[in-house]
Amino acid sequence: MSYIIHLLTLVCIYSVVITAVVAAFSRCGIMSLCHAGFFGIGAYAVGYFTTSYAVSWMIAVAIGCSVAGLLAALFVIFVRTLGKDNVVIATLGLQLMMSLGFVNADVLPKGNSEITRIPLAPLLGTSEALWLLFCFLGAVAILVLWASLSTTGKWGRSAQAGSTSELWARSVGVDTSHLATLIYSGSAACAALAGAIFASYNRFIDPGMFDYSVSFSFLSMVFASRYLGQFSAFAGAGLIVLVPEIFRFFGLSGPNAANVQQILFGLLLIVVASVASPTSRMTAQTSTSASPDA
Amino acid sequence: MIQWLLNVSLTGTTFFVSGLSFSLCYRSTRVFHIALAGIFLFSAYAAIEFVAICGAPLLIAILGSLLLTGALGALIHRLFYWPPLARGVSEGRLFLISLGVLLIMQNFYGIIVGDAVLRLRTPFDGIVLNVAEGRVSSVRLIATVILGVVATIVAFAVRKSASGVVIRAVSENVEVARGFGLNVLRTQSLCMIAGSMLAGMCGLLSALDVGVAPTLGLPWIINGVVVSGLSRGVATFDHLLWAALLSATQSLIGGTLGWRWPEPLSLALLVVVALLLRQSRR
Repeated sequence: MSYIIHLLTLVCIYSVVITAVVAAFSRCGIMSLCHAGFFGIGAYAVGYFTTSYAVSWMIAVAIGCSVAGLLAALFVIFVRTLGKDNVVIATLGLQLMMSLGFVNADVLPKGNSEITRIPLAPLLGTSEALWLLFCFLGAVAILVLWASLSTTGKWGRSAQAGSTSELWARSVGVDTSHLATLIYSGSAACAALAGAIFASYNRFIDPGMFDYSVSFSFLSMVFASRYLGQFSAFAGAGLIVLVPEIFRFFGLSGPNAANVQQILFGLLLIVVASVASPTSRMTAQTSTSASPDA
Repeated sequence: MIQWLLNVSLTGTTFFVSGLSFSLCYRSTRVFHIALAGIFLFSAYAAIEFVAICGAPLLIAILGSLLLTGALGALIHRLFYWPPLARGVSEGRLFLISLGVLLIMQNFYGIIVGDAVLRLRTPFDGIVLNVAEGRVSSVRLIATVILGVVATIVAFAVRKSASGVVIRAVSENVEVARGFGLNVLRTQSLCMIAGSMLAGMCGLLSALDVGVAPTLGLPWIINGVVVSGLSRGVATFDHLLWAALLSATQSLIGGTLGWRWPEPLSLALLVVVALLLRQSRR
């Protein structure tokens, strides 16, 4: 039972990152290959500040989310003029830089690339059921918050207009670049929050948990989960967490299981990117879900 | 100083070839062919397996692996890139397809050979040559010189030959090239074969010199992308200049700040290159 609770907790944590990647993709049009890096920034902020300087958990989380959000904002400002296709390439560059940053974390005073004995989050302690409840409610809250923020109110309508047609949105006075910067940095901060929770839950982090292959998995899941409806983020996260467990059930474990999983995600990426245009469907969903007064 | 120049020249030559290889594929097809990193590894592993399993002589193994690498490049283009290209899908989605191909190749090698660094043994192993006041391994020097000569011949062929003119025309504007009756599929396949074989040669050099592991493909292609993005045209000698500058900068940064920093520099340059690619298309 505790094993199932552990898996479900991981599904909830990863679903927050997938929600963030979906938000970046559907609202800014950025196919982000660097969200594993933002996830890692949150995890390393909590790991580093709580273990090396005994900083309180909440402050460490706030630092992680702020750094990720700020980095994402600067990145979007810098690469916004590239056009959507080239931004994908730039996100890969950013991910690789962040991965190298995690590997070289030992250059920081009292820093280490592998951090162990990360303190548990306050109030949650070691109770697995409490962790699951916290992560589930947190994931649902973030999902609902993103959904409502990006569909209702002035910001939501502007975001919808921007994701449907940037040109039209600009023609009616929506500052699309400002909006994209805000959404992308919010999405990065969300991923960092998930990373901070992951670090406290797992109590051990290393650079391999946040490298580019993890970003590829997130993006594959975004493409795959668009066929899974309302709870697509949970379904995508479920695939990331459960596929290795299914392999283990069939006697395939260790590095080979990870390799087979990556091959499957690679195939998925090829099939989905070749067959259908994700933007067109997401845009269509956006258009139909928009209120008439939008 | 001589040692530094020697190191910069040898590393710069491999950057030149990787840049040329990426340019040939990217500029002719507009596919950000990151799977070239997988092709780089394929050639090295094919040669290693030819020697280890089939007991083939080194030269035969190298030639055989290069031929297979060229064929693999053409196959990837025909199977994965050409159908979406014909449907006019966006460059971003083509990049994702290429990423998928890389994931499959890289992890396939991981299953077959594991994480170990594998080397191709030669009779010249351990022989160190003195060049002026510098020292360099004989294998590295010979292989790099051959690599540089082949890449220069390819660059000249693209500039001077009739096929080179067609390649440049397709790279400049594929629709106009098609309108003038040029065979776009054949030209792109030719570029993919040439680019793949150059990548394969770099992979072989790596296997002969320091060895290869499944994770080494991506760092290699990043340097190629940076050189290609900074240079203009399909196979110009700009590539040589930028490769030398990148190599010198990385060496200076590595020498002064430590060898963990040249890679982030390349990556920062990669982002700048993405900007330049955009500007050059305007």
